[in-house]
Amino acid sequence: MQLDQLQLQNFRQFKDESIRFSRGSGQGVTVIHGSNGSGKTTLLNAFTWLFYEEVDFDTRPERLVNEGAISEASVGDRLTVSVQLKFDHEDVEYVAQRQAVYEKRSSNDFDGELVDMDLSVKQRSGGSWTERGNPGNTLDQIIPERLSSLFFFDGEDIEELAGIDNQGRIQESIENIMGLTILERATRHLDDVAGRFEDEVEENASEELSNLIEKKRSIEEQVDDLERKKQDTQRAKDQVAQEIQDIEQKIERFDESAALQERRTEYREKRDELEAQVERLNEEIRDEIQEKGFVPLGIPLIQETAEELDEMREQGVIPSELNDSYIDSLLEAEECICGRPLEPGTEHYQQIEAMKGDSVAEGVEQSALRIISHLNQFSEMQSSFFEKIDEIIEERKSLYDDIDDLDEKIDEVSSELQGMDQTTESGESVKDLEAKRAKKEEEKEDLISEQGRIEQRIEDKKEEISNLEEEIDDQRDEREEALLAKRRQRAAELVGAELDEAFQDLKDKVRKLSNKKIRETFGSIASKDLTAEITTNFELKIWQNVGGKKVEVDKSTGERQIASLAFIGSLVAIARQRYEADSDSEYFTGGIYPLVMDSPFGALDMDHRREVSRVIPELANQVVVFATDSQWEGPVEEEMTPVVGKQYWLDFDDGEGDSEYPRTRIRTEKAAMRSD
Amino acid sequence: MSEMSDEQVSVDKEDIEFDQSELRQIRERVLEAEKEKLNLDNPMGVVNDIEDIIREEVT
Repeated sequence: MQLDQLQLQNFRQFKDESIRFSRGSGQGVTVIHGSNGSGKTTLLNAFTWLFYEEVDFDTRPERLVNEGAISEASVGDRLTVSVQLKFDHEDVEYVAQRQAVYEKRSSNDFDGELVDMDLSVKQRSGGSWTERGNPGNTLDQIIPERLSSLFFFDGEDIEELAGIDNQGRIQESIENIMGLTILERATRHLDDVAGRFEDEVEENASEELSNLIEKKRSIEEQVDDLERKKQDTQRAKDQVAQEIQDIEQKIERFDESAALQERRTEYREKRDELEAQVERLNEEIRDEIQEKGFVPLGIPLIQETAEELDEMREQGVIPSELNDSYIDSLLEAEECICGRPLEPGTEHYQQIEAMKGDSVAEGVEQSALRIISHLNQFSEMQSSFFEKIDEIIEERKSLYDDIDDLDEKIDEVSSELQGMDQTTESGESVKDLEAKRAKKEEEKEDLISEQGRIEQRIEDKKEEISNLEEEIDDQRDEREEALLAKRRQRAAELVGAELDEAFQDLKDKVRKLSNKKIRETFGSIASKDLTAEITTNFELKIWQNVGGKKVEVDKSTGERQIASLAFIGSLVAIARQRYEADSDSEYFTGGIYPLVMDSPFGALDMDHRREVSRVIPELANQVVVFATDSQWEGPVEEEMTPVVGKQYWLDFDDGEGDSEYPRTRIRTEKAAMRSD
Repeated sequence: MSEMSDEQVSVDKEDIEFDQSELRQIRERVLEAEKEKLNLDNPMGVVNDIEDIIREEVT
């Protein structure tokens, strides 16, 4: 997608304005300068309103229509609010336009009543323009709504992506941008189709087979129900966690209890860190078992072999020398021990002939001893394996002790808080709040247990299904219709499984690629001791190297904000690379996306502003940046000026006198702006 | 399937075999259908299309 021109009519403070975006190669940056309140966020909202009919305004969100226009209108007049965007996508030109008609209902009605809304998308391919039948869907396919905040990016939400609960969104972003969605959908739809053919099998099958299929279906429905319950429980758990957080914020507002609450947070963070360490140790144990776990299992056999071999050697059963007569017999038969011909005069023949003598005998003896010694090394390996495991378990035990200590301290804090009588203006005491919090904490624990129980039930049901599937497969049936349906069902399942495998492989490949890119991007912006990664669970994590140890960085820091920017930029860059490269998979094709960023530098310090402004234009073909003068001047301006193709200034007039209303004009020259 | 006799035949799914080319043809057509629907006005009905593809390919 490449933006061409945005036109606004009666949209908030923009009466009739337009912006043409820079598309030049190497100068793909468009900068829109504007002071706070001049309309930068309104412009960002113009995109989301056009694409998804969504706006997010802090002030008077219900008033979309231009204040001046509606004030000057008479009662009963109708006013049209319109946003039009011209853009290209995959070599097709588009014009998208959303229009809303508002009617003024009374003399003091400044919002108007919405009487009509229309969205149209026209596309030009092969010279002629055609109107799309389902315009909303067309736009959603070009930039899906759920991913819109990646491309129409509000600087205030900068750290949201690096939040702890966003892996679903990160995964979805990666999959969608990389075109993996097609594979995922095909897998899902093939599963539905296999189900339809299974219905057909059932219709045409013997009673016994039909009963089995019905039974399986019923258990599958139960699994679906349980999955839904699991999700509900998860939502309830999130809700309770949010309530706990809200209560804790209230507790923090009291001077007397703030310190205690702070201490509790500190203990909890330590506890989380210790639990993460326990998890790492568990992983180490798993790795160790995977790598060397075979040793204890194989050791009796290995020892036995070593002893027998040694015994044989001592008894002279292993030939202590290759005698000359044996070599002579080989030469005479003109065939080597390995089966190859031994022709007199050849190099091979001469080599064997030269083996006659004492030196060979020593070689065989040495080899036997060497094998015995190697086998004995397994005993040492076994000891070191057990030592290592014991060591890790010991370390883990000590961590568990520390966790217990912290739990005790957390309980003590709670007891102390439950003894405090201070009350808020609304009459809630710290004591009450803490008691409420403790109750909610219990509720949360109950929900976690409930979730565990549901998961177990799902697992059991799935096993039942798997057993039934085996029984169904063992059934015999003589009817041709059932056979054909079963064959089709099987074809759907086989293709589905194959695509699922391809999907999982590609997903992993894409994750690794995203990881590499984000590391590079983040690495070139952030300090040297910090690294960013997308984990196998699609979490965006920032690590800091503290004295050789990897420590996760707190989520509210500037580094996380940079990581979010690096993540978005990296996705856009990978999608572009894939689009431009000769793709090795026809469904991993990527695409071209612009980045429209409102105040992306606002939250960053000067050094990071410089690095971000240097890196972002390298990642996307087209970047639109909204910035205040103070965000722009200095490092951002220095880095970006060479790649800026167009600049605009938002000239905001807040309206004076009876006939004047707030209005923003878009200027191409700073000098043309009216002076305040 | 036209060669199939009326006598009892095992329908153990594991025994049902396909040529790789048969499966490849289905796979390509299914993905093509998905791709088309992804960019079309109406994304509904792709499951019906896939069902038809398999009916046509497996006879």
